[in-house]
Amino acid sequence: MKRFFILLIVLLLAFSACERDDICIDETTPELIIKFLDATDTESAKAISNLKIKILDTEIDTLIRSGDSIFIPLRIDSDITQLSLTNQIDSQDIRTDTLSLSYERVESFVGRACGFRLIFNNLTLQSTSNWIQNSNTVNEPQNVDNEAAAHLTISH
Amino acid sequence: MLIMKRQLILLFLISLFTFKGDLLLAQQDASVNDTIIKNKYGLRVGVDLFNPIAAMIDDQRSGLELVADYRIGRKWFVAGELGYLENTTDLDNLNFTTEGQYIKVGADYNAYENWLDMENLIYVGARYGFSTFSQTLNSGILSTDAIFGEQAITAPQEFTGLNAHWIELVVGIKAELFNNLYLGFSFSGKRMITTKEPDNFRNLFVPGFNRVFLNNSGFGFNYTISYLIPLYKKAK
Repeated sequence: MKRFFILLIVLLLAFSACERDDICIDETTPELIIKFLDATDTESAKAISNLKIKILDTEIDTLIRSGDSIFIPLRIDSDITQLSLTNQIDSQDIRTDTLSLSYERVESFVGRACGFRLIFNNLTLQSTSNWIQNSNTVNEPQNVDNEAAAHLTISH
Repeated sequence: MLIMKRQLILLFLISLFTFKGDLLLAQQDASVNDTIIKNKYGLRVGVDLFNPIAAMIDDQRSGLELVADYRIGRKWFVAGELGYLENTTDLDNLNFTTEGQYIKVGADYNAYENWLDMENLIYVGARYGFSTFSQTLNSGILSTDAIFGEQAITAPQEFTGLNAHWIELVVGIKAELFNNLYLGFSFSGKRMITTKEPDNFRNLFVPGFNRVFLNNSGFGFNYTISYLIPLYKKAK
């Protein structure tokens, strides 16, 4: 009888093997990923260096990004994010372009620890062309729901 | 062959004698009836004290659970629980209230060998549980980049018409305090079978199941006081 009991207690404990789902380690609200391409050869990437990004109509400090793929957070309090992108082409030449992004914000449940995150659907954009040659979404329609691949391409 | 036949006849005669002897013994027993130990059979009903006590300490939880079991054999009982629970779960990013009722039915096996006519139980059992409930998402904060500060989710949101089915393994003790009054304690390990989930949310808490862990398992406690309504007695 004692053996039967021990077996059952072990079974019960195995049954209720509880997992730690108290820490938020899943993906949360994704950032926008922009890939920079060469205007003369749109197949190859062309990195920018020290691009100054200001998220307009907010109190957020200027962001500085470098590389051929950059991450920028989209505004969660508005369906429009306007970015001013200042690129230093050479020591004398500094040009600024304004990138306007429009999207639909959707709340999406992640789990117990993270709660809800935002995803951005049907992203559309407009941009001025002082240093930007062309700007496009990668997909049609474009959703920003993960950080696996670039969402926009900008050729310069 | 002949020898075997004689032995068989001998065996038959002896058996007749011993059988007759038994009958005599039985007759003798009738006159000393009170040495045969009898067990009580009946319906035991009670109430869980864990929820009312928890409700006094934690005003986020309120509910009532009735328990019952019925003896169907020397060691076997048919058992069940019926309850109602309202519970608010307060997490870092979420605050929601679950409200509903549940029923659990199953059987218990008393693995304890009582001395004399004592009626205590140390049992193991199984239950099938079913609950209908609703969830209300009271408030929450979006998980986003720290530079934006906190932003609340769209709330409140109500999700009705939810249900869940599960199985449990139970281990417990029931001790007879005094005449037919029992105090019991049990622990259960639960596993969800199927559940109707809300849209864009999840059943993180189910009445009767309690917190639903990531792998759909759960556990629970039960602290009961119950009374055995004796119906008949049967020899042990």
